[in-house]
Amino acid sequence: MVKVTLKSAEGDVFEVDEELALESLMVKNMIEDVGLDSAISLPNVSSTILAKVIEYIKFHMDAQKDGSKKTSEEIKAFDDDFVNVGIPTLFEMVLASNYLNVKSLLSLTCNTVANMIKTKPPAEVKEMFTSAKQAKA
Amino acid sequence: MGRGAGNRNLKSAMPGALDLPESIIASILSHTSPGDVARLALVNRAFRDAGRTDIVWERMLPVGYHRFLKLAISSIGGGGSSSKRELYEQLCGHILIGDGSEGLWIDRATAAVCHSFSSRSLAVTWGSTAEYWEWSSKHGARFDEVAHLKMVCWLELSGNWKLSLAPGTYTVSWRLQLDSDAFGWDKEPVRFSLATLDGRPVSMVARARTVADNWVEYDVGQIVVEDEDELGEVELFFSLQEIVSGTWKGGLFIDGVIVQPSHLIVE
Repeated sequence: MVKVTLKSAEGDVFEVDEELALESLMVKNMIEDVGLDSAISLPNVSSTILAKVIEYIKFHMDAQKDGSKKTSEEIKAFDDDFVNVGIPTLFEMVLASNYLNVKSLLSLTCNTVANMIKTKPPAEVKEMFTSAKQAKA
Repeated sequence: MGRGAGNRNLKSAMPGALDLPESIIASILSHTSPGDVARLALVNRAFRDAGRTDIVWERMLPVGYHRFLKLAISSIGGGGSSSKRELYEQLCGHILIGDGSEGLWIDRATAAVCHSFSSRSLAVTWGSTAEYWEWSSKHGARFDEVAHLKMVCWLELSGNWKLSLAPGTYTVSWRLQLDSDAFGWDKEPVRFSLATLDGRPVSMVARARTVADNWVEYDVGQIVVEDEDELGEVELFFSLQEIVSGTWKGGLFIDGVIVQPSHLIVE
């Protein structure tokens, strides 16, 4: 199996199967442009978040494989657990899935944020977005 | 914050990284409802601007809205040149479809589709006799022309309507208005009937709700379109009659019959 090397913002190196890497349309385009010889640098994604994104893609690729015994309930449970994180992490995942162009993860994370803000008054949403930024800074 | 050295490096590399760009806020808003988008426009400028984009409104438009645009009598959506938000706004008004005897509109907060059937398409006993019935316009009516009962002894109207509905529970109602000098309605109740010609069960409802501009919606029944039907073909047969008392009655306006998702009805 061909491997692809991804380099996070901190310079940590993640070696993944090419098949998995191609799930990120951004990485796919980079591979098409520059080939597989050098590591693909992802300066906008931290190691923590990159590890999460890889975990997400891997789970869903396995779940879609023939012979996978994962039920839709199990997949849903994984997704629910996956986005059950603090708001700063959730926002980082939104940004990373947008940057890496992983549509299903972008949809999952955006939907999670949407559900959080749906019932909140505007002032609370503003507060939520501001404190997410401060927690990060 | 107890974060590792790696994260501190990251922070300096990406100042203000958690300012979500407008395109992402738009993606988030597209997972909410039109009511939420309007409310959240007050959060800040990014939310307001994001809330106007096509990304958001394409998702808000009802499933199969392209079909409505094709059926519409007059061109809506500016032939594709207007924004999805403007198109949504147009659909919130009453749009005539087919030969103009039917219409539809969407609920502003939920985009649920409502359907209307003009009184012009009803079979009206004595309807072509000018002393008994006339056609006029009436403020607040869905249709430009409504049936106006001047007076009649034998009151009987019926209609037959085929329509396609997305899965859900719908309430069928007559949209009526009694004039201030209406007369002859105290002898016998008006009888409404509703049946389906497609075998769908009908649960009967009898309830009158005053809506805008003195119009009253008389709910006469409920039908369910199951989830497995992507777009359920429904055929309704309905009637309104008072043929028992034999007395003269008049002063009634009939806008038509409407079918709307039951969850929209505020009792």
